[in-house]
Amino acid sequence: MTPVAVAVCPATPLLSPDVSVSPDGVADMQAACRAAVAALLDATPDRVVVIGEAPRLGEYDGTWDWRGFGLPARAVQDRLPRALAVGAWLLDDTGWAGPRDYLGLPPDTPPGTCAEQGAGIGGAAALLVIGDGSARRSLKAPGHLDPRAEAYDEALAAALGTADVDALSALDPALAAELMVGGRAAFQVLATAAAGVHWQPRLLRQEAPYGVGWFAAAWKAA
Amino acid sequence: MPEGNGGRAPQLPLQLGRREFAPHEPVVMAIVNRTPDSFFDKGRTYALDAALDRVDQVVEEGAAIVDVGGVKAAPGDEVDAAEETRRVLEVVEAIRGRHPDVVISVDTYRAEVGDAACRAGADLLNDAWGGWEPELAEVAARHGVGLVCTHAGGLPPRTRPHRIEYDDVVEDVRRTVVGLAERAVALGVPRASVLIDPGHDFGKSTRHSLEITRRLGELVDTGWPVLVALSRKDFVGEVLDLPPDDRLEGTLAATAISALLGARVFRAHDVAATLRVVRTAVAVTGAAPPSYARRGLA
Repeated sequence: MTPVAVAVCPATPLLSPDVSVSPDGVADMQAACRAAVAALLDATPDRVVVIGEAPRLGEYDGTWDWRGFGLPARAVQDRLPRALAVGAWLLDDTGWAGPRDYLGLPPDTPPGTCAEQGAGIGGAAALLVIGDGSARRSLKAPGHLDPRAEAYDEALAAALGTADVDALSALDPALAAELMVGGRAAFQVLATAAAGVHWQPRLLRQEAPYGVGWFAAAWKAA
Repeated sequence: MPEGNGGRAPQLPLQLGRREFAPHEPVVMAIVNRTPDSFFDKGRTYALDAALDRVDQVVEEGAAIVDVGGVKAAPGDEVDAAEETRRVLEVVEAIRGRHPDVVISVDTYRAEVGDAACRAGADLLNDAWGGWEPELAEVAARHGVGLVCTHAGGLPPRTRPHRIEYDDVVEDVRRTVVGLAERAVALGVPRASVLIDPGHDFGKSTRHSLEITRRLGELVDTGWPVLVALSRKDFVGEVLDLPPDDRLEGTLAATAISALLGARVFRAHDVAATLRVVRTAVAVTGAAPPSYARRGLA
């Protein structure tokens, strides 16, 4: 069995209105991610695999909690790392009650390891990939402005919008690290897991309002 | 996250006029003086159109309550009830027409003036002289409007404190204002519309006003919503050795401390600045979120 659907969302806690408070500047991406996850669940997967960057390689267990960002703590024991927590929150927000797994990858995970992880995802799964483009998109970006960042993100958006798994597999880890790309490893897991499927991909939104490349995409198995 | 007034009596929503204010919602009561001789503005808004311009401005700046006064607090020219009524009523009637949702408060110790103001649409009676005319609370009850119950040290209206001593000023304030508030409710004033005010400078020397500020949490603990009237008062002036024109920062410092300790309504000349200070203080307590959060989160 191969994956039945894919959603891509940025790894920002601002997707949660509890974190962002005012919707100004984030409402459109929040809506796009809700739509991407809703489409993911419409494919009636047997489980959802959340894929995102994390301190160590492997499976995670737990749930989201924004107390690390200064919000009131939830009474939870195991707090997922940020990218996986964003995925967990999106699934809760959309009302997914079925099985879910969390796969975490350090940002420097080699492409070969990402491919192995992707090949290991079996069953009629839906993939919720939490990752960003470059965090060097503007003068006020977390990593300041790198003139290469915008073109990099354009290419990434094109790959996500056309389900170009070859382009995702070919992402260069060194350049991604230089440009502070927050999703390269997760995208390369996706590239292998989603290979060989005929997809109907949609790029729902692409923007970088705070200097970080954000994408929302939804792929449906044709 | 530590929140607001942890461990204290629960605060209930405050209902004034058409408005309901949640426990941590910052509420600014703007001072509108229909007087020729008040200590700070010195008659600037005595004329009717000037008073109404002031109302328009403070509503624009975010005041939820306007407090209309026709007699200056300090000793001065005699203003009889008929003249006070004339001054106040013109403004109250005009505000009611221009700003249907703003809470109209009238600053008076006279039951006769309060009665006329309520007939003209006032929502709140600010009895800053501590129940000098007990009938004022009856007027509030009869009209179903709110009442501010203030500690003025038992002084007659428009007199200055002279060598007043308290064994424990906060205990005296607490006992007095809670007694006034309970009496008001017993008379029929809506419980959700009763406020208590420790009465900074009223019947107090500067150290008294500083102590009631420092220990304001003990008044918040009563569960009655606390109003503070700090704006440019002498206790700020004596701390800083500055005249009223230069007391804004001192006022705002005391405002921030009062907000941190749980005060809910702030009577002020400087509305925009006061609102900004209170909103910041409430956000520091964690009781209200920032307007937005983006920094370091994208």
